[in-house]
Amino acid sequence: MRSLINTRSWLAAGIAGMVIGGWLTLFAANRIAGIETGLLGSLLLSASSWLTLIQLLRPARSSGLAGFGEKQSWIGLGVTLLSAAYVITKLAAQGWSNDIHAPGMQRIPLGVIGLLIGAAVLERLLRHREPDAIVEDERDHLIRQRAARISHGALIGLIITASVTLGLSPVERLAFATPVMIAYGLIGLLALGELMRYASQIWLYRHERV
Amino acid sequence: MTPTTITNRIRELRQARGQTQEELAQRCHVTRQTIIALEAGRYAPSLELAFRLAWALQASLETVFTWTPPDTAS
Repeated sequence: MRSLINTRSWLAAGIAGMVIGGWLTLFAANRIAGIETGLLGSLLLSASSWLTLIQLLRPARSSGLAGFGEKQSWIGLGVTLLSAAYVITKLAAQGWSNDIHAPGMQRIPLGVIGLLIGAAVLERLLRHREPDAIVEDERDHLIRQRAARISHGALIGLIITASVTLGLSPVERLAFATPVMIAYGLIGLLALGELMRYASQIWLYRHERV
Repeated sequence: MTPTTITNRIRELRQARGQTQEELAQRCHVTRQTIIALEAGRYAPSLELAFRLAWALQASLETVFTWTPPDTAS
C-alpha cells in the first residue's frame, strides 16, 4: 500500500487536481449540481498547486532522467498554454469587448502576470532544490540555442502569414480587428513563438542528438 | 541530423573505475543528464568537455573517444 502512495502518485494527483480545478474555474458552467464551480475550482486549484509544489520540492532520491533544463521547459510550456487559455477564456467571457477600461478586461493582464510570477517562483525553487548541483551546462546552452533558432523561424513564418492574411482580406471581414484584438493577437503570436521554443527544447532533450 | 562518427567508451571506463554517473558529472562540471546523453551516443561533447572527461576517467583522449573517418564509416 505504501508503495502505491508514493511521490509520483501524489504528483500525478496534484497535476490532475490542477487541471480539473482550472477547468472548473475557467470553462465550467457557473453551477453544477447546485455547487458554485468557480469557488470549488479555485479551492481545488489552490490545494492541488500546493500539493504539486510540495512533491516537487521533496529531495530527489535520484535525479532521474529529466534534468533541470527539461523541467524548466515543461514549466514554460505549461504556463504559456495556461496563460493562453486564460486570456482566450476571459476575452470570450467579456464578449470580445473593445473597452480596455472595463474591470473584467483590466484583470486579464493581471492574471497573466500572476501566472508568470508563479512560474518564476516555481523555477527558482526547483533550481535551489540541490544548491550544489550543476543545473546547466554546455548541452543545455546548445539545446536552448537550437530551440531559439527554431522558434525564431516559426515566429517569422507566423508574422508573415498574419501580415499577408490581414493585408489581402477584404475590409468587411476585418471587423474583428479592433485595436484591442490586434494587441492581443500580436501577444498571441509571441506566445505561439514561445510555445514553439519550449516544445523544441523538450523534443531536443528527449530525442535529438545535439 | 548528420550522423557523427565519434564513439566513446565513457560508460565502460567509468564503471571500471567504480564511478557513478553523478560523480563523473560533478568532476566534469556537467549535469548527470549530459553524461547519460554522452554514454548513449546522443551528444557530442565540446573539445574542453572531452578533455575534462578524459582527465576524470584517467585515460587519454584517444582511449575515451574514437573517430572513424567517413570513408571507413560508409
